[in-house]
Amino acid sequence: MVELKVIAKTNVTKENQILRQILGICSALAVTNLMTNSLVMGVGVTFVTALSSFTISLINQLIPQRIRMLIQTFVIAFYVILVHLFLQTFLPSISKQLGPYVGLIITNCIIMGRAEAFAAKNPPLPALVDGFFAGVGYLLVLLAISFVREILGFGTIFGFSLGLNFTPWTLMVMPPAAFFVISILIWITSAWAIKAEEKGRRA
Amino acid sequence: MAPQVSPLVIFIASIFTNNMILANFLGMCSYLAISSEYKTATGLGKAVSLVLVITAMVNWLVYHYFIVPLGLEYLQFIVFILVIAALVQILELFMDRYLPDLHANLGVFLPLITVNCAILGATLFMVIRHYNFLQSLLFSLGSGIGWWMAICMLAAMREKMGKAKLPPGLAGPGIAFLITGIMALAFVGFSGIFAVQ
Amino acid sequence: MKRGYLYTVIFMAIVSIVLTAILAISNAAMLPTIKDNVWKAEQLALLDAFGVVSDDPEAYFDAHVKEKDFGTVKGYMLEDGDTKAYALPIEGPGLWGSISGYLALSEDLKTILGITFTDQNETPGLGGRIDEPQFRDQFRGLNFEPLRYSEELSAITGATQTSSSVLRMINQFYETILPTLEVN
Repeated sequence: MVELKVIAKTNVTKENQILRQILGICSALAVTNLMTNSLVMGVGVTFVTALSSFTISLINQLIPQRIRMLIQTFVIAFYVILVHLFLQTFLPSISKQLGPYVGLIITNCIIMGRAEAFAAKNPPLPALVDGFFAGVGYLLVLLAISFVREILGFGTIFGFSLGLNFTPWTLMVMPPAAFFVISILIWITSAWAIKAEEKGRRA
Repeated sequence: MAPQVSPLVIFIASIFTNNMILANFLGMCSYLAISSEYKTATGLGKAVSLVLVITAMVNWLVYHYFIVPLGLEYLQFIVFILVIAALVQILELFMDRYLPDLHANLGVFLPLITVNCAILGATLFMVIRHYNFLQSLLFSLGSGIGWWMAICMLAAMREKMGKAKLPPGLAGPGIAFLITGIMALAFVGFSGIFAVQ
Repeated sequence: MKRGYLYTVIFMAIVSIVLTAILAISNAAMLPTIKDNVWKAEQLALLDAFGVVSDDPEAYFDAHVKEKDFGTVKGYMLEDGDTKAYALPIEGPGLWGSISGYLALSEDLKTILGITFTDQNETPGLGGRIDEPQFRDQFRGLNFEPLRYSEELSAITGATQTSSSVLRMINQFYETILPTLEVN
């Protein structure tokens, strides 16, 4: 079981898909101006990544080589549709706000990336864990970005007012802010990674 | 019937004020990965624009003449992505056979395009906003051109920046995002351009 | 292991049938709730436009709100004791696509009771904020006449285009549809 723990840890930290591998940003940044939307989106991605990795690993031996990509896409789209139906049924207002971005989970590179790089070569259980924590790492980054943007842009967290008395920084709500915030996050984490590597080399 | 948004306004808006990358964050993966050289970037930009327009048009027809009459709205994601994958394959075969020059230029990018969010994104936006055929055509054309323009601008700047000295953590994707942010900020300035309506 | 063409086709067919069947069942199971959600959201939006606060919005709606034909358009009528009010559909182009909603008017059609949007695709966090009460509540109690943004009625910062689309919708309604309404 040690192995599963390692998979979990590296996926959230060292090999975090967004910050270290720069994958899967497409469908994500657009919803990071509100934390609630980021949370729902992140949970959706986690669900799809975990279960599609699991399914693909399960049937991997049976998939004919020439239609592998097609089957993978099919499986991913299947889970995305389930998420979409679920949101429409139980969280209709959030589903409306997320608009096309739920459907775009299909083209999120993380999911296909994990399917190809891990699920196709490993048994189902580790694949499930790998996909799940790749999604969790993704969720945490989305929450971090939206935390900064929602506080500065609206003065709220998850929609609850902080009681701050200031003029909201409109730019934070607008698209450019997402780029600035993620760029600073990447800067900080890569600087850490570089430092840790240097330390490791010296020791 | 209420007045519709003019297709021309949609065209201009999708290039400038609501650019696929700078405002909707779509197609970021290949945007960041293939933008260190101007020449490859413009090749990818052309290929994306071409595929975007073709797939959006085919998906429009599929949606209105196949999905809606059969009541299969809940399967639309699967149908759209399969149409995109199939069209990219067909386009590659067609170009290989009849347009070898073009294929030599754009062929390498085609497989990448199936998973480009901008392509599926354009289709989904078109459906959610209930665009008619003409609106969809100009929307996809504008989105493609906007995407092409954005990746070219980033690549041109990254080429120059190759010579600059950057803080170690910022080099690579960090600075690419920062530049994109500044471009996005500049593009916000376009938001006043259509007062006509 | 090398597999034949036939295997590929059969495999693809089985995967498609299984996955599509599961989706079809889930869709059939959830569709009634989804449709119900849409109708509930519409009811809430209408009550909100009328300015009605109720503990049991569904029961209140069934008891007091009826569909009504106004000749040129179809809308809703609220009757609660002596108060009467009308909700009329408004529609117009926004920045991205059509915006539609209801405008609630007093019985004499001279005062705006409220405005609500049922379908809009404006930028979330910017133009999308026309849905927020802070913006919509500004319209409550205004005299129904051609409107413009001012000290009392402010547009959404950063979403000039959407904000002016909303006023254009209301003003167009005032000019073209209001004179044609048959109330009785």
